Amino acid sequence: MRDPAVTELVNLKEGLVSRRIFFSEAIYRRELERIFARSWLFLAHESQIPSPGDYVTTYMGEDPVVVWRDSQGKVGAFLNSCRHRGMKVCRTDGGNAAAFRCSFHGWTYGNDGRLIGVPYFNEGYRGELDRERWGLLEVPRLSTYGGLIFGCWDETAVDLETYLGSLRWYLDILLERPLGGLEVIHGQQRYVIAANWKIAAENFTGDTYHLPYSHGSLFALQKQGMRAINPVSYQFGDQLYTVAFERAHGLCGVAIAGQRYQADLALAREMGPEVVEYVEASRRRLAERLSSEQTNVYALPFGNIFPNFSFNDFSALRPVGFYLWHPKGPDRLEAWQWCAVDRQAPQAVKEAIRLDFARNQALTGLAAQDDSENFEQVTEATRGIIGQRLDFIYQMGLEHEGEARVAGYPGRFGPYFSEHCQRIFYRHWASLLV
Amino acid sequence: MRAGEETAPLIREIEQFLYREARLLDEGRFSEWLDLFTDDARYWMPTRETRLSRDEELSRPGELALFEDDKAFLAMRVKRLETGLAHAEQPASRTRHFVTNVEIVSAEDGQVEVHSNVLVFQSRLERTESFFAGKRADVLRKVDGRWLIARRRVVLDQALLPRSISIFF
Repeated sequence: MRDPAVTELVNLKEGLVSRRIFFSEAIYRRELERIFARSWLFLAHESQIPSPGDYVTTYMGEDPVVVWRDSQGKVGAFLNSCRHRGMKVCRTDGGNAAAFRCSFHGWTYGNDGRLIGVPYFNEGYRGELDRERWGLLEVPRLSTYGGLIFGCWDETAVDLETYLGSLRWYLDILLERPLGGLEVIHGQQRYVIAANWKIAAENFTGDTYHLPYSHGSLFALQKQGMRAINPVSYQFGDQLYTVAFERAHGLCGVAIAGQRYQADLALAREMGPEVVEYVEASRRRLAERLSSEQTNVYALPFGNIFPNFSFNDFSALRPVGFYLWHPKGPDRLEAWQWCAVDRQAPQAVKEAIRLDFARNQALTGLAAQDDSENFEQVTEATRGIIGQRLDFIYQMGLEHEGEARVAGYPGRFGPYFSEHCQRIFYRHWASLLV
Repeated sequence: MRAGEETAPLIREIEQFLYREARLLDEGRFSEWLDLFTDDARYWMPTRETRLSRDEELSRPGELALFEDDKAFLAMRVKRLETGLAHAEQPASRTRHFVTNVEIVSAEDGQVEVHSNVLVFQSRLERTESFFAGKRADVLRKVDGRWLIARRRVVLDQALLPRSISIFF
C-alpha cells in the first residue's frame, strides 16, 4: 500500500482524521523520528532521584535512557546502551550507582556518563582507544520545570519554557500550590495497552466527552449514594472549559470561578479542622505567589503535554497523577504512572490521596480499567481494510471555535464538551510529520 | 503433638477453603466471595519494579499500591460490576485461578497464616488473553466456625503488567 501524504490523512477543515494514522507502521516510524526524537519529553520528577548517584530508567520514544544524578548532584540523561556493542548498561528500573559496568565486555561508565573503564585497554586496544569520545551518549538538552525533568534529542529545538508556552501559566498552579513542593510517592505502575499512543494522549488533551459514559459506572455508584471518588471532579457543564495551547498541549475541565476551591473546602470540612486549614493555606500560597486568576483556577484538573505526558491535578485533596504513554509500536503502548503529593500535606491528606490514586487512577482503579478496554477495542475494530478507509470524527464545536471568550486566562478556551483541543493536537502532529 | 498429626487435616481444610474461594471468583459469584472476608479485612497488592536488591522491588505499606482495599472498597468494586457500566468487565472476563504451593506458615488459636502461589488466566472477548503469576500471603481467621480472610497480600511477579487489572486475585 502506498504511504499517503500526511496532509491527506488529517483534514481538520472538516474535523476528520484518517484511522490509518493509528495503525500505519510507516507513520509510526516517522513519529519516532520527527516527534519523539525532536520534542521535549518528560523523563522523571526530581524527587525520584534526590541523592547523588540516584537513577531511574525510562524511554524516549523507543530509546531506553537512564536519568542519573552524578556525584556532584547534577542530573544527566543518557542513552542506556553501551557504546561498544549496544548492550543495555543499566538493567534495573531505578537505584543508586556510582558507575554501570556493561555485562557484555565490561566497559564501565561513571554517573556523569564518562567511559571510565575498558578491560584489557592496554593488552587489547594497545592503549589506543579514545576513551574521552565513547562516553554514554548524552541527551543533549535537559531542562527542569518546577521539578519536572524533560529531555530533548534535538539540539536546535526551542527551550523548554518556550515549548511549554502559556501552558506554564497553568502548570505553575499545580507546581506552586503544594506547600512543601511535590514529591512522587514510591511505587511505579506500568502496564500494556494494546492501542496507539495517541489514543491515550488525546484523551487527556481534550476528551472530556468520554467521562460521562466511559466512566458511567462511577456515576451510577454515586447515584446509589456511594462515593467512589470525590464527586466534585465530575460535575459537567458550562462552568468548565477545555483549553488548547500552541504546540498541541491541552487542558480539560478548567474552572475559573473558584469552584474547585469551594469544593475542596466542602470536602475538607468533612475531614476536620486540620484539613480545612491546609486547604486555606494552599489557596493563600497561590494568592501570594501567583495572580488572582490563577488562584481562581486553583487546580487544573487534567491535561497532556505534547506528545505523551499527561497529568491530573483535581484539587489539593486529590492526587497529582503523572502518566507517560510510551510508544511500543503502532498498536501498542506502555502506560507508566506515578502519584505525587505535597510534602507538607497533613498525614490524613497524604493517606487519602494515596488511596484515591490506588482506587481510581491506578491500573487496578475504577476509572483506568474502562479506558483501557475502550482504547483496545477501538484498535480491534478499526484495523481491517474497510475500517482503515474511514476517518475518526473530531467535529464537535468545529464551527464554534473561538466563541468562548475568557479574558485574562491564557490559551484558547472552548466549552467543556468540545473537540477543539484534539483538533489542535492533530494539526500540530501533522505539521511535524510533513 | 507430633508434626503431621494435626497439621495434615488443617492444611486440607485450608486448601479446600482456598479452592472454593477460587471457584467462586471463576464462577463470577462475587457477592459470595466478598462474604469470605472479615469485616476488618485488608486486601493489598504492592507495585513492583526491577531493582538490584530484592528487598527494594516492592512498594511498602504507606507507599503506592496496586490494591489497597478494605472490605468496603472491595464491596464497591463488586457493586461497580453490577452497574452494567463497568465496560472492562462487560461482558465479564473468563478467569481461571490456579492455587498451588499452599503452605501454612503459622497457626495459632483460630488463625492461620497461609502462603500460596497463584496463576491466573484471563480470557476476555475474542482474543484478549493474559496471565498473572504471583504469591499470596493470607491471614485466615475462624469466625463462628467458618474460615474467613482477614488479610490478603498479593505480590505479582511481573513488573510490567500485561494489561490493566479488572479481576480479583
